Amino acid sequence: MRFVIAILGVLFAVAVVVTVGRGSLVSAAQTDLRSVYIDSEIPIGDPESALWDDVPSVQVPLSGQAITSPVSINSAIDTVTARSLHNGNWIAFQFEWEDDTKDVGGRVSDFRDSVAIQLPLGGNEPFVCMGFADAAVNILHWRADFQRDIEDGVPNINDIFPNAAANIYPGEGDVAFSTGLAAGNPLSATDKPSPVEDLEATGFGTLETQLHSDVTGWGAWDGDKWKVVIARRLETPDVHDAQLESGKQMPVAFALWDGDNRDVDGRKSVSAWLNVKLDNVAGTGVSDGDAQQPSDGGLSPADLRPTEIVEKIELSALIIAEFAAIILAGVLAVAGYFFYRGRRVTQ
Amino acid sequence: MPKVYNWQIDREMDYPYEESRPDKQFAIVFNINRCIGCQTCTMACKNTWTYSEGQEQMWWNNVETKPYGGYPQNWDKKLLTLLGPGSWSGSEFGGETIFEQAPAGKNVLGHMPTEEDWAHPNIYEDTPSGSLDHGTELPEHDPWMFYLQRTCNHCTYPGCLAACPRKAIYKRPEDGVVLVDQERCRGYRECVQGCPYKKAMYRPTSKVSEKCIGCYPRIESGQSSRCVVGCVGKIRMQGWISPPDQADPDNPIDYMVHVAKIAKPLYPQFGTEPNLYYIPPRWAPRDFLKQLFGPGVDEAIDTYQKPDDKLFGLLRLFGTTEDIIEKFEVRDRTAIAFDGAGREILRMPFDEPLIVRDRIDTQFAIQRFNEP
Repeated sequence: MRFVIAILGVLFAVAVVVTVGRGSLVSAAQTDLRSVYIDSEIPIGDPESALWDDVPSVQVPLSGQAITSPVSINSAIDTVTARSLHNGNWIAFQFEWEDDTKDVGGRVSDFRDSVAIQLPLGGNEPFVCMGFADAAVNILHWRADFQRDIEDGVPNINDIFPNAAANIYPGEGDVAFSTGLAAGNPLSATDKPSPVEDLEATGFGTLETQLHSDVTGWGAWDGDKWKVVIARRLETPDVHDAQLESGKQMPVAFALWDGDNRDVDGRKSVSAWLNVKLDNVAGTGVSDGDAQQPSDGGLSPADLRPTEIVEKIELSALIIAEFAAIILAGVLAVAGYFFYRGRRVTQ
Repeated sequence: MPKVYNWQIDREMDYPYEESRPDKQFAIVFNINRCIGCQTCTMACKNTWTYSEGQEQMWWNNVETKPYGGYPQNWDKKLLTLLGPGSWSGSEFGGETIFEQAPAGKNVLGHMPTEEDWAHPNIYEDTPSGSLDHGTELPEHDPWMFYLQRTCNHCTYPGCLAACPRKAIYKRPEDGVVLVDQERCRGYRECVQGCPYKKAMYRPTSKVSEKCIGCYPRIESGQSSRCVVGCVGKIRMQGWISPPDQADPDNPIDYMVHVAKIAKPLYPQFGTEPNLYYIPPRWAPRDFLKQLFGPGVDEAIDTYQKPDDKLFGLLRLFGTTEDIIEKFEVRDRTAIAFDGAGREILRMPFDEPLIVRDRIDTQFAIQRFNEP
């Protein structure tokens, strides 16, 4: 009888742990993102290029960030569709997610849409949230406000409030009067080369813009969704960049911000680590012989068929199953205890 | 969360960082009774620090008319509503501070003002509490209004600093001035939400936040800040405040805050230990004043209305010099001000000399008019 109670107790404990850790269940699903080799230029400036239509996609589930303040208990964006291409020289990631507002910042209370890729600098998987002191991460961050600055220039008050009466600025144009710019803050730069930041972090609150940026990209919003491409060379001369190699794989994690939800900093939707597996240039798949890889190596876009590598996990079904397990195990444990106790008393 | 001591609420409280008081602490005393709401301080600040693109909505110094005015609009009412009621037992605050009421996943209870809130710095300026259809007199005017002078409080426990997830805000050990590192800030605006006084402000053009810098280049050379020096009503005195157990009765700020106890912090119940102190207006409803300035308002007004010689002399020194008065002395019906090195800056007699001159100037054979 003790054995039965022990079993039930363990079941109960497992059910509790699984339920409490439900947030991590979503991210526990190991996902592979194949970076398909193409023997052509990658249309970095055109995130809506038809070239992406035939590239296999991964639906990456996202959850809130509840580890450090400010938290986002509930993620504003539940899922992002990710694709990747490389041509042996450049690698590009395309992200597609639903968003019915285009948030490019501008006013004091406006926050921006953005998407980031996180790569480990050591090759292994450090802490998924911004890395650790001795395990840095490299972050490539596309921002809608940076892209707006590049397209239309940094907005002034009359761009934001056309009827505002403000027109005399002594010292206008002098860097000293824009303190962020004068202090060398990259966010304040008026001539941003790219809407993508090349960053490095070693834990919460440590994010720094790299001195040398090796990333580029572009985003397009069509009224109800964003398509954003982030690209860089596989190999860069910067020791602070994660280096990628054809035929190899690399852990990668994503984060997305919804400006309309006032997402910024830790208020974001995040994925767990997944693996990006780069096709061989020669065309023999990744070196570990993963079954997902095509036997004929690099494909031309025409050969590609969209395939869902991982289905989005149905959370609701899982939650119902967990609760049912808890209740069942709890009832059985209590019943078993009383049954055993009753028997002992009668003996 | 570490426990720190906040003397303004006379108890320990939660704060994300350990207690670390600066060598000297920036402070200003405002005599609300004397303010005429001319906004010269506001323009002195604006014309020095915030006249560039992206700073249009920034008023590091502002003067608002209570009870209805506020910049950003309703900054205090919104936070008081979030915070809920709390009562004082003697000098100890029994309610919870903005740190103790921080929502899950945040260090500070706060709110984000709207664009409209920032857009009207002088909203309800000169608007009294009601319409006036009769005469009114002390001790409590009906209707009533008064001007509230506001800059950054350079708090001992800053809400902005506690809220910043990047530690981009720091408090200078040499003078207690709280600054936003312009290189490190990434424009998250947690400080804008976390500062209970709404004196951390976001600059959309540079994408980083800025705030009152206490005119640190001036105070480093012993001069008062621009808003203090610009005050034509002579209602401001700047200096250094000590913790109560180290109060120096010859230090003007310590004397007014700790000894005479006529100057009170603004919303001490927020828990940041702000370092701007106000001599409450003697004509406003006491309940309202107690909500703003905590307990001790009645005694402060009584003492202010019947000052002894030392306090009277000190009040004479307001607005007399650009230098920071670090020590003062009152003797022979004269107030004497000293700088940080102990050098005498000036003397102010209690009584200005009265000179009576003949109506006819015989030397020039002209009639004198009653002009100075």
